[in-house]
Formats: sequence, C-alpha cells, structure tokens
Amino acid sequence: MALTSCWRCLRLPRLLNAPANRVVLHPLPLRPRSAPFTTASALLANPPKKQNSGQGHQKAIMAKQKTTTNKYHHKKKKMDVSAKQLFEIGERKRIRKNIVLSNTSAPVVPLPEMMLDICGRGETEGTVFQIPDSVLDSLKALGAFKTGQHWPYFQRPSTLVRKGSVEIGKLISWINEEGIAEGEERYARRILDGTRGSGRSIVLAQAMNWAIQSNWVVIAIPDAQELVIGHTEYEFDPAWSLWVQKEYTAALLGRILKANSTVLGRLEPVEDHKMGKTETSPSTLAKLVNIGVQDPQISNDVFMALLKELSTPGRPPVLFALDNLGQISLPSAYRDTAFELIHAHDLALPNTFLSYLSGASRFPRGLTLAATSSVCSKTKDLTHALRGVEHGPWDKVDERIAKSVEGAGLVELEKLSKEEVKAIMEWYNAGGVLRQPVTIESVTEQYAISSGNPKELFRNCLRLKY
Amino acid sequence: MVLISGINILDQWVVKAALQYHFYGIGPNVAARLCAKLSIHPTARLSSLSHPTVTALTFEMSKLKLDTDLKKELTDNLERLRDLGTYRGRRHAQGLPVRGQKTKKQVMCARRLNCLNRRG
Repeated sequence: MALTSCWRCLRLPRLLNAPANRVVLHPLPLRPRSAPFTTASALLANPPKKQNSGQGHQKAIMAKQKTTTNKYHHKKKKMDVSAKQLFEIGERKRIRKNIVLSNTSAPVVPLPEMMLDICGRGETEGTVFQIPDSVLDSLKALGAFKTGQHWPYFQRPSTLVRKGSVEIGKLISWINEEGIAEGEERYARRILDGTRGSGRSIVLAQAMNWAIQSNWVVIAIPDAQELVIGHTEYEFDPAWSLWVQKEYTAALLGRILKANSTVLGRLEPVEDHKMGKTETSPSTLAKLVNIGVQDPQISNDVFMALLKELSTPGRPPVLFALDNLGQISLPSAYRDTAFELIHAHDLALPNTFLSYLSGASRFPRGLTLAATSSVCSKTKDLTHALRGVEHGPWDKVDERIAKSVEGAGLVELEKLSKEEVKAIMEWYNAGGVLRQPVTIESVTEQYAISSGNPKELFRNCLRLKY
Repeated sequence: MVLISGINILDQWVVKAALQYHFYGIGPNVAARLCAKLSIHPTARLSSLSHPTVTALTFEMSKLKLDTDLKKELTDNLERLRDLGTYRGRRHAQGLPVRGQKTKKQVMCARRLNCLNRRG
C-alpha cells in the first residue's frame, strides 16, 4: 500500500491537511483575478469592461478616432442655460442697500425729537435727539441713511447733536430768518470734513432733517461714488458740452419728487417748459420733475430747468447736498470716444453740484453742503485744497480740484468730548446696546479706546464683554 | 436675444463680456475700446442697448477683421512660411517648437498648437 504522506518529511498532502468541516464566515463572490503585482484589493477595483468584438466595436473605435484626431484638443464646455439663477439681476444690490430704521426688539428710549426749534442752538450740543417720524420717509427717499450705520440696533433712529451740527443748524436758521430785505441773498457753502467714522454723513442727515421741516427743497446725491464708477449709462450731450447720465438723473429726480412733493406741488414755473412729448407747459414744478422721471431722455434738461426755476428770487430755500466729495475729485471710470478717461468734473451732475459749491452758480436762499469721503484714498489734491497745503515741486497737480471748492467753508468734525461720550453711552445703555453700567470709569475707558471717534465708540460698546 | 454681427446672443450678457466670448479676435482691450466708442458703460447688459446702438456696434465690428477672416489670415501666414521653406514654416508643419525650445522632454504646447491649420 502506498503511503499517503511523503515518507521523507512526513507531511500530509494538502487535501488531507484541510479540516473536514471548514466554515467560511464571509463567502466572497466570484471576483476578477487581480494583477499579480498590485497591492490594492481586488474588491476596490472597478468591474471589468465588457469585451466587445465584432463589426460594431470596430465602427465605434473608428468614429472615436475620427472625432478626436488631436488628443490634446479639448472641447469647450457648453453653458448650462437651463440652470436657474440664485439671484435675479439687481437683487443682491437691493439686499445690500436695504436700510432698516427700526428694531422692534430693542427697548424704547424716551428721547426729545429733533424739531426745528433746536436748530442751531448751542445748549443742545451733546444731547441725543430722535428724528421725527414726519420726515423719515423724505429722508429715506433722499438716501440720508446709509448701511453700516447704527440704525438697525435701536427702536427709533436717533442722533447726537454736536458742534458741527450746531454750526450747520445756525446757517439753516440764518437762511430761514424772516423779514429779509428783497434782493438780499442768503446763500452758504460748506464742506464737512473729518476722519473715518467721524459722523459727516450723520450731520448731513441732520441738515436734511431741519431743511425738510423748514419746507426747503432738498436735493441730495447720497453717494457720489455711484456717479463715477461706470455703473450708469452715460452719453455726451453737445447742448451742455458735458457727459450726461440720463438714467441716474431720472432716478434722482424721482427721489427729489418723493421727498419734496408738497413743496414742489405748490410752486409754479416762471418760464415755459415744453419738454419731450408734453404739449403744454407743466403747471407746477412737481409736474415738471415728473416729466423727467417719466422720460429719462430729457431728464438732464428737466433737472437743469428745475435748478434754474429754484434760482429765481422768491423761491423757497434749497439744500443741495452731496456725500463723498472725494469721489468726484478724480478722473472717473468712464471713457470718451477716444478711449481717454473722462474727468468727474466733465460729468453733468458733479459739474452742476461743483458749480454751486464753488459759487459759480447760486441760489438766492440756500445751502450747498458736501461731505468728504474716507473710502477714496487718492484725493491728495482735494485734501491739499481744503487744508491750504502747498503742493510739492514734483507733484502732479489737478488744477480743477482747488477751483471747484474755492471759497467753501470747512466744517471740521472733531473728536467727541467726554460729556458727549457719556451722553451717547447712556443712550446706548437705555437702548440695550451697552450692557455695562455707565460710570466715570467706563466712560473714561471707552473714551480712551475709541479716542473720541463715534464709529469706534459704537463698535466698542456693541462688542460683548466677558 | 440680440443679433450682433450675425450672432444671436442672450439678453442678460454684459456687453463687454459678450463681445469677448462670442467673437474670435475681440479681447478685453478691443471690447473696452468698442464700448467706449459707443458710450456703453462697462456694466451695461445687452438688454439695455437701444436699436441704433446695436446697429452702430455691428457697423464698428464690420470694420474689424474677426472670426473666420482672422483665422484665415493666420493659416495663410503659416502656409506662406511653409511654402517658402522657412524654418518657422517647417517647424509649424512638423508640430514642433518654433522658437528654439528644446525638444528632448515635453513639447506639449507645440504639439497642441503648431500645425498649418492652427486653431488660434
């Protein structure tokens, strides 16, 4: 009988060596044979491709070779037209520019209202007033409130009356004075200046508030940057030898009409204005403005006609305001037909405003008010012109800038005093923004941290502590 | 849809971008110059253009050498070089680098681009 095992090594053959009742715990499916030198698991590999054979396969290979003759040639991706946009055109801008003026969750702070009787009175300096409801709609229409300001944190929009506000208030009271001799002109030009967050736009809003209450006609360009960054339509108007922005002017006229509808509705035009498709001259200035709103093609003519009407004697005073003056003291982003940059002074709206600011054009009674900008950093010419600094011998000087602000008074918004900081902190405390109690120590601390800058003070008070 | 120089383009395109995308031979500079010539602001969309402006734009573009004409010029130049038997012509025909680059290792750009009917 032959041995079943090797007689030399006494090993059993493999079959007999295996346990008879072996249990496979994880039975594996039939799997493809893995490559001999790979360390990757065969389970991870993709299923094998079907092996095609025959004429159909050959044809497919031929077609593929035909389409991709060059293996480096990449096809352009087709645009997916059916994909739905996340935002409609202009929707993001609307969200970004949305102004919230009231926070219903914030506690109500009883504050006196910023009425006309406190306009220009020195004793109100350092007191917080709330803006009356009657002017809120007009101020909103004029773009007096900006995003990034403190409005969404309080129940009612309120502001602090400061030295700069009193100075502007005094001018408004001076222009408002009754019993002015006929032919006497009361016209003032001022530029609000200060560091970043010093409250120039807020003072501008306060001036608009008093002007609306005094039944003035208020014309406001809320952000001069919109005029120069190349985002609105523009074209050359040979009649004015200026570049006009018709769409923006029409929108501006709409805002003017919304804010001053009652005043403009009472005024009758002195001259005949047959413009556009209208066959008869409008009976009131409000109707005249409305023509420009309806037809942007003649909006600039309507705007100039309105200014001309308001410049005639016997009209109510006018407040012409512009925020971010630095933006229109530079070449704009627009280009002329020869591909040269258009200077902001050659655009119709900035040109008109600057003519009133420099005194070339005047209202019989009125105030032209501009606020400088901190966003725009390249306005060396304007800064030198305002401060009266001489240019260096190698400086490139834009001669037009100094002329555009010639003779306009400078209202410097200085840093807050300790009393003003205390008044503001008490208001913040009552309004729920500041949790810590207002003591001499906390006021001194916040005054030191913010160095008297209103924006910094608000940020420091808002920040949660501990 | 707006018809510009024989091509229908969707309304929501920004004019400058539409010109750059749809026409061979128009880049950022030419597009900006075309827009400046017709006082079209940089963020204007095709939907905001008036009919006379679209006509004027098409007219201005007709003065330029674009698309097939420009591509034809390119191939003609390469064929001329090849027919003259110049080094540049030969290297283009061979799909090899033209300006003295080494060919020992990768010459991907030359293989991809250099040929007589070059795509642009």
